[in-house]
Amino acid sequence: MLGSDVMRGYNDMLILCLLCEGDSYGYAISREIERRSGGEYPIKETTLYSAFGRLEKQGYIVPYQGSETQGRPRTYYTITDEGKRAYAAKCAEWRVLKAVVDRFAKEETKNGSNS
Amino acid sequence: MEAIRNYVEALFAALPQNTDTQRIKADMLANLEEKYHALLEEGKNEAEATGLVIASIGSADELREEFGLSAETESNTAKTTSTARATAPQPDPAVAQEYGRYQTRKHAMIAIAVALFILAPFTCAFFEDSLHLEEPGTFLFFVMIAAGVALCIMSGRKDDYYRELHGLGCDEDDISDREDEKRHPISNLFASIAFPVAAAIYVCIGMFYDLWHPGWIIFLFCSAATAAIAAYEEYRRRN
Repeated sequence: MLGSDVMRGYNDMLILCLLCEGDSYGYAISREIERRSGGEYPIKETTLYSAFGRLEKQGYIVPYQGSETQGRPRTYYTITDEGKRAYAAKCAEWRVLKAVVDRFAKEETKNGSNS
Repeated sequence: MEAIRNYVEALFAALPQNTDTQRIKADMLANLEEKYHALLEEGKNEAEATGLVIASIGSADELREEFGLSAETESNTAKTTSTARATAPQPDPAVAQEYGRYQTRKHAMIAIAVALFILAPFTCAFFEDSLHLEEPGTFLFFVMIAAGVALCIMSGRKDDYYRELHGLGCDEDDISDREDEKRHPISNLFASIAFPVAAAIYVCIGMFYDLWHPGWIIFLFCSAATAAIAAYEEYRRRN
């Protein structure tokens, strides 16, 4: 299971990705992240809301009041054009990062030489 | 659900109370409630569901990073002092020793200056009354006051050097000063005006009417008034 420190820097990307597919709200987003990660990354509430706050300040997402659930107004988020651009940039960054880290992840050869 | 609500309340208690955090808190609670009900539907019992929900909340540090140090003045002071502390370099032991000696010297200088201030009028009076030498008495009075002022200025001249270069002697005093200023704005303002005025009155009535004694009582009045105002402010703040 992945911790939030490992995912640091990519929580924003996960949320932007889901919002690209349509407006959503807190619980649905956290449930969807956990589902798509195959249960590997159950995102913490504080991580989620810190990310919402950050994205909102950057102008990447905009909150609005949606329908009520159990008497409580629910806050939905929608992605802005700027947010979509930020998401694309983040995806590009991830491809580079992935390629770089991959070059240092040679578990098999290390294990092989040891045994 | 009550346990979850209490947990969230405690989580947000350390954050500034503004519309942003209030909204986030209400929203988070709504989500947790939904999650809780979903878990109950999955067949978990209430205790299990509560435990799982609380475990999924996460740490307050994360929220504090994002929402904690916002525009509120209180948290701003905390921020500046904490960054000042964080950036202050670790003092070198030799410098720290030197600083200790400097502190002792500084305190001695201030003590001498205060003694000079107190003795000046008495010396002046002694010259005039017992030796009937008016001019040397007045001259001596001013020399002693000037020496005292010079000592006061000299005693603190290296404070900034130590503070900025070595991060010494800046935290506790500064923070308590700042907190004191925040807590007692009126008494601090009063003191900053009253004492110089009192000093001017004291010198005037002393010089023109020879009332050095009991003219000094004016300082006692100033101290008493400042303390009374501070006490009143404290009392009002607490209620």
